[in-house]
Amino acid sequence: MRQGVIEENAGGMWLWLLQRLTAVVLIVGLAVHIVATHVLNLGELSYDNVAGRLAMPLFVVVDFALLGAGIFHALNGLRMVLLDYGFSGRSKTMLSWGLFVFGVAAFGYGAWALWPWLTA
Amino acid sequence: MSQKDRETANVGAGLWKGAGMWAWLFHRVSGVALALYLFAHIWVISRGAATGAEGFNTMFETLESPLFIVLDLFLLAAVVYHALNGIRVLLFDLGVAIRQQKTLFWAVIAISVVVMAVFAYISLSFIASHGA
Amino acid sequence: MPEATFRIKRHNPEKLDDQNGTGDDRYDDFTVPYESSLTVLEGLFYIQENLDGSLSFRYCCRAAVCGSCAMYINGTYRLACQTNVRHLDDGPITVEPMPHMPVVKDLVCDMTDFFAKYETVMPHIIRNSAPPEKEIIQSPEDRKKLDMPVDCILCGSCYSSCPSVWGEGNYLGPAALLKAYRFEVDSRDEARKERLPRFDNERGSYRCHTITNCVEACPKELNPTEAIQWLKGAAVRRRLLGRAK
Repeated sequence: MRQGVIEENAGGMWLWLLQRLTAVVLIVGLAVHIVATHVLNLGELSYDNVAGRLAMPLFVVVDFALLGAGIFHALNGLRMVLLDYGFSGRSKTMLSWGLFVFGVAAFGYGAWALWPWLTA
Repeated sequence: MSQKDRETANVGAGLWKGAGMWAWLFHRVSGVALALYLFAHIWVISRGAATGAEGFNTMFETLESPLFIVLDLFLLAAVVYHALNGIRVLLFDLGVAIRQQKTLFWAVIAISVVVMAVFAYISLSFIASHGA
Repeated sequence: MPEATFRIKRHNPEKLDDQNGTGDDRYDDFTVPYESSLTVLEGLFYIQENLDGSLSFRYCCRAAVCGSCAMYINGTYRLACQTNVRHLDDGPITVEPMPHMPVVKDLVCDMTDFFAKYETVMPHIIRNSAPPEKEIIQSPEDRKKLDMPVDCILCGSCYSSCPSVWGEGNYLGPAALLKAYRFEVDSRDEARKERLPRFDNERGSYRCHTITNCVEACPKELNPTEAIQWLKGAAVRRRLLGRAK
């Protein structure tokens, strides 16, 4: 096969490994998140209820871990799906950068969304 | 495996009886759905910062209507399947149980069904008690 | 005398330029008499000799060793030479070329990409040390690691069955990666940097999503998925932990 294809697609191990690591973070974090939000506080969801949870450092850590790991896992997963359908060369580079910029922006927006509870 | 077994093992089977392709397809579809949900979820939570406590609470009254609780069940089905099949894939990545992939797939389906039954019971009794 | 009906998918490249431009794609039925046993390949010989001399198909060894006659028989990947008509379900026997592959004519697939990818992974032993005086010794334990992958006959069934290959033309596919595994686990192979980047990339092992269609399809009952997972682990061991292999 052309040497160019190999060079253009070099790497992949780190993204593959990080997809696995974030998967573990999400499985543990989501279990905590879903049980705390929807089982222990069934029908109690409100601004103050969220504030009560985010007063505990544990939930600040869990929520930020979920935000970061979730965004990475989602966007890298979408990239993995799209790469199965013929993105190469310029379109592949643009896809990767587009998703990266979108991910950073989404993380910033998500952190801003949590801000009022953290500073309350 | 006898010669006859070998020759007939795949008779009419096609690929879909391999279970692995279903597992992959469900994983992919639920994954894309969850990715889209994640960004919707971030936007919903950001209403707290954007509209303050009152707007946030009004929105949550809508989100606790029966329609959204039923949608939540679909969401949970996607989360549970994606997580359990994700564990199945993680095992494969560790080189474990690749040859037992079909058994694992059915285990994933079975556990998903049980978890969904529990949550369906919880949410339906929630709808019943709040609707009355 | 029992008879078998062969329902064969036809494709004629010379008809591609005709008014409908389909290559005259159709299914032809042929009735083949047989005595005690008949393989699908023997049935195709009978048709070619007695009923329709224009039927095209690949074959060579007739003993499930060369991998030339892989076809889609009754909706399953099979080697025509080791598929006995007696053991198939009653009714017509549907014989088609392997799906998701470009067809040259009738049952003959275009294997150009398949073999180009096979060559990409350097399917041969790489030695960096001086050649020994005599043969290179391999222990029985080390030879045992090759038992599974050496049975691959490059028939293309796994390659044709893989959804990652369907969508992405540059993906190496299960057969080439199984071959990379076969040489990476060989104790006589000394490749360190030569082969690794050829399979450890986004058009190599990381395009495998452990769908396991290749395992279902393989007529030799090999497990390419297991091999590809080993390759992913090997990349981590070598790039991250600095292991030689």
